Amino acid sequence: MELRSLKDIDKLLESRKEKIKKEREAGTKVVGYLCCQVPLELIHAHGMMAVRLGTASESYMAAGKEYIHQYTCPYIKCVAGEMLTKGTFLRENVDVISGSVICLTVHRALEVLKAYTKKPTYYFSIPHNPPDSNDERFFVSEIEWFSARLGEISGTRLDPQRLRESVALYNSIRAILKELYRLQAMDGSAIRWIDVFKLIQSGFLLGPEEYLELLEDVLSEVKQVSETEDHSSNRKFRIMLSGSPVMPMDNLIIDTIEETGGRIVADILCTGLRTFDDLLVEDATLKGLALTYLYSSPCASCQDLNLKSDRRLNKMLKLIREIPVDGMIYYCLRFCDPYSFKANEIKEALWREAGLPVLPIHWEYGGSYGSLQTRVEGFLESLQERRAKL
Amino acid sequence: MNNTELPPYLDELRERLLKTGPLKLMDGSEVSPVEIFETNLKSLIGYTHYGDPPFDYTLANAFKHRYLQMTIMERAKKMKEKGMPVLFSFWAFPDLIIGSGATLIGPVPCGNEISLADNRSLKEEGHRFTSFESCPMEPAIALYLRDGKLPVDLTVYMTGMADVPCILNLLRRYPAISLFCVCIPYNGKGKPWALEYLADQLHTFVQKIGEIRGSKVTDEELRNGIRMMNQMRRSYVEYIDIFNSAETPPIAGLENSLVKSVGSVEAGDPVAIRCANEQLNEELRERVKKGIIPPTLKERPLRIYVCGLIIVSPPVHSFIESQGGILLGPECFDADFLSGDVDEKGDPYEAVARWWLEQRSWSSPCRDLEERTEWLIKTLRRYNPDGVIWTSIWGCQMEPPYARYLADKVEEKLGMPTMLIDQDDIPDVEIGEDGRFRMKGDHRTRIEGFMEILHARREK
Repeated sequence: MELRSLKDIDKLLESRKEKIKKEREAGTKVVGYLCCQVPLELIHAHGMMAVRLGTASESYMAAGKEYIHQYTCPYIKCVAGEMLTKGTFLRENVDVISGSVICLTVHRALEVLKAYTKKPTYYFSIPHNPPDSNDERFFVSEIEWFSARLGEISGTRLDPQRLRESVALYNSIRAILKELYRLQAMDGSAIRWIDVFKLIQSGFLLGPEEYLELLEDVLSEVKQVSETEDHSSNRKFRIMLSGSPVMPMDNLIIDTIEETGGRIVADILCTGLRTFDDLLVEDATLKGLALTYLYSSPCASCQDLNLKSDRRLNKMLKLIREIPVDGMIYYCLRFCDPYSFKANEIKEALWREAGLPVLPIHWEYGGSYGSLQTRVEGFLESLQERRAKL
Repeated sequence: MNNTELPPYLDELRERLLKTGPLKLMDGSEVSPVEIFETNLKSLIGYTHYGDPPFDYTLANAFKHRYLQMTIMERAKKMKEKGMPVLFSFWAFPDLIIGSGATLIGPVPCGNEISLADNRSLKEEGHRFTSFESCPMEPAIALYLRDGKLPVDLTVYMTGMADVPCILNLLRRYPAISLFCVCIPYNGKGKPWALEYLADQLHTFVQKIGEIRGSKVTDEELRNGIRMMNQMRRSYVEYIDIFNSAETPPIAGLENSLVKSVGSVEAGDPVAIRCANEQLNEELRERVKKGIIPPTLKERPLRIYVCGLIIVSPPVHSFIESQGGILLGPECFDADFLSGDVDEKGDPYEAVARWWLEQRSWSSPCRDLEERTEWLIKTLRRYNPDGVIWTSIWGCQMEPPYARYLADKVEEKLGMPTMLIDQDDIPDVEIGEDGRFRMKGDHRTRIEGFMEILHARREK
C-alpha cells in the first residue's frame, strides 16, 4: 500500500526548486555538496541552503565523460555532467561547491568543477586512517576553516545559538529517519525501505524545516497504519544493499531486487543510512560537530590496516545483528575503486564472521537489465536453497 | 661471452664505457665500468632482438642508469644483509627513508620482475584478488609482496595518489606483513594544521623505521637524507637544461625516460643516481658541443611532451622517432625534479611535509588544478614542445580526470595541439623480450595523425 504522506514527495521536490530560486533572488546562497560528511547544520547555521550534488542519468554521464574522463565512476561522471551542462537546475542555482573528501575521485571532481565553473569551491579532507588524537585535532581545524569560508560567502559570523538551533533541527530529522528505518525493517511494516530511501534522498534538496514536517507526517501515518493493519505475510528474502553510492534516479538495482523476490531491509550506502546514522550531535559546537562527523559511519576509502578493527566491516556486522538479513548485495559502480576493491574482502569476511552470503555486482548505468536480473535471481535462488536446508 | 663474439656496436659500447668512471654507491662501495657493462650485456643477450633499436649504444653513461634499474633488487638484498632496512614505497617520502639509513624499492622494479618472469598468472590472480577495473600491475605487485619475493621490512603508501591504497588494502589480510599508510590531506596547502598533521604522521613513520634498524633516527640523519635527495634532484635539473639547450636533444626518448624513471620512482640510492647523472651530463654536454645527434633521432625532431601517466613503451618511442619526433618529459617524473628543493635546514619532518603539501604538483591532492596548470605551462615553456599528449592507463584514476582541463588550457594559453590517449592495458616494461612490446594499431594511427598535424604546423 502507498502511504498518503508519501504521495506528494515529487510535487514537494518540484516546488522546492521554485522556492530555492526565489530565496536565491532574495540573496540566500545555495551550497552544493558531496558526499555525506559535510556538516549540513553548519551550512544552515550560516543561513545558506544545502543541496546534494548528483542525479543518475545516462545523458549526464555522457556529458560528464567529456570533462572528467571515461575511467571515472558513473556517480562522479553524472555529478560533473549535471554541473557542467548549462541549464540544469544545479548548474544554474548552486552558488558554492563544497565537499568532504576522502575519495580521490571526489577530490578530482571538485577540482574539475571549480576550474570549469569558476564557482567558489571549498572542501576539506577526512583522515584516511582510523582516527586518533592527531586526526581529531586536524579535523576540528578543517571544520573551523570550512565554517570560516561559509561565513565569508554568506557574510555572517557563526552564531553559537544559531548553531545550537540548527544542530537541534538536524538531530530531530535524523532521529525520525532512524525510527522510520527501524520500522521499515519490521515484518508487516507499512513503510518499505525503498520509501525510506526515497525520503532520505528528498532531504538532499528539501529545506530542513519542511523536510522535518514531511518526516513527522510520514512517521505519524506509519505508526497509525502499523497499529491497524497486518502485513505479517511477508516472506520475501531480506536483503542488505551496500557498496557504491546509489544516486537519486538510479533505481534499477533496487527495482530488480524488489521485483525478483527480495525485500531490501537495510543498507550501508553513502546515499542511504550513512547520511544520518551515527550523526546525532550531542555537543553543538564546531568541535562537537567535527568529532561527530569524524567518527560517523566510514567511507570505503578509509584505510584501516587491521582488518579486524575495520570500522566499516564492524558496522556491517553490527547492522546485521540489529536487522537480520538473508543476504547482501554489494553494488559496485564501474571504476568505483574504494568499494569495488573491497568487494571480495567483504564477501569473505561476512561469510566468515556472520555466515552471510554476499553477491557482488559490478555495474554501470545503461547496462543490460537482463544480466542484472539473472544475477539477482540466481542469488535469490541460492538463498531459497539455503532457507530450505535450514 | 667472449668479446670477439660481440657485435661491433657492443664492442664499441664496451670501449666507451671503460673510459668512464665508476659508479659510487650510497654505502661507499663502487661499481666498475666493466661490471656495469657485463651486467648490461647479460640483459641485452637475454633480449631476443637485442640488435634492434631502440637502444642508443653510443651513449655510454645511460647504461649506468640501466645498470641501476636492473640491479635494484639485488642491491636491496645486499643492503638488507648489511642490516639496512628495506622499504617498499609507492613514491612516498624517499628523503626520509634514505635519511633513516634505509633504502627503498618502488613499484616499477617489481613490475619489471613480474613481466620479465612472464608471470601472467600473478597478474590474473591480482585482478581476481581486487577487481578487473584495477591498475593492471598494482595488484600483482601486492601478491609479489605477499609471497615474500622482495626483501621488504615495511610497505609504505600515501593516500591521495590512488583511490584506495590498493596494495595496503590487499595486504592487510596478512598480519605478518608490516604496513604503513600516510594520509596526505586534500587541499592541505597553506593550512598550518595540515602541515602539523602530516609532519606528525611522518614522525611516526620514521620512528617505525628506527625500530626496524634498532636505533633512533636523528634529525641530522634526516637532513642528510634530504641533502642527498636534493643533490640528486639538482643533477636532474642540470640534465633537463642540457636536454633543452640543443635544437636536437642529445639523448633519445627511450634513454631519457629510463634516466628519469631511475631517479623518480626507483630512487633507492640517490648517491649512485647523482653519480650516474653527473657522468651522463658531461657526456651530453660534449654531444651538444660537437653537434652529435642520437642515432634514432632526426635533426630538429618534433618535440612532444608527455603528461599523465608514465608508461610509454619502447615501440612508441621507436615509432615516434622514426616519424621525426621525440617524446619529452614525462611530467610525472619532471614533477619530482622541477618542484624545488626540500628545505635542508629546519625541522626535517616539516620540510618534507611542506614539499608534499606545497611544492610538488603532479597528481597532488594538496594543490589545486589552476596551480597545477600554471606549473605545467611553465614546464612546457622550458621544453618548448610542438605538441602535448596525455596518456592514461586502464583503471588508474590519479591523473586522467585532469587531462581534459589541462589539455584545454595548454591549447588556450600556448596554442599547442594536444591529444589524449587511453591505454586499455599496460604495455610491458622496457626491459624484456621484444616480442611482447606492442603498440596497438589505434594508437599508431592516432599518433601518426597527430604528428602530421605537428609537421604541417611547423612547415607553416
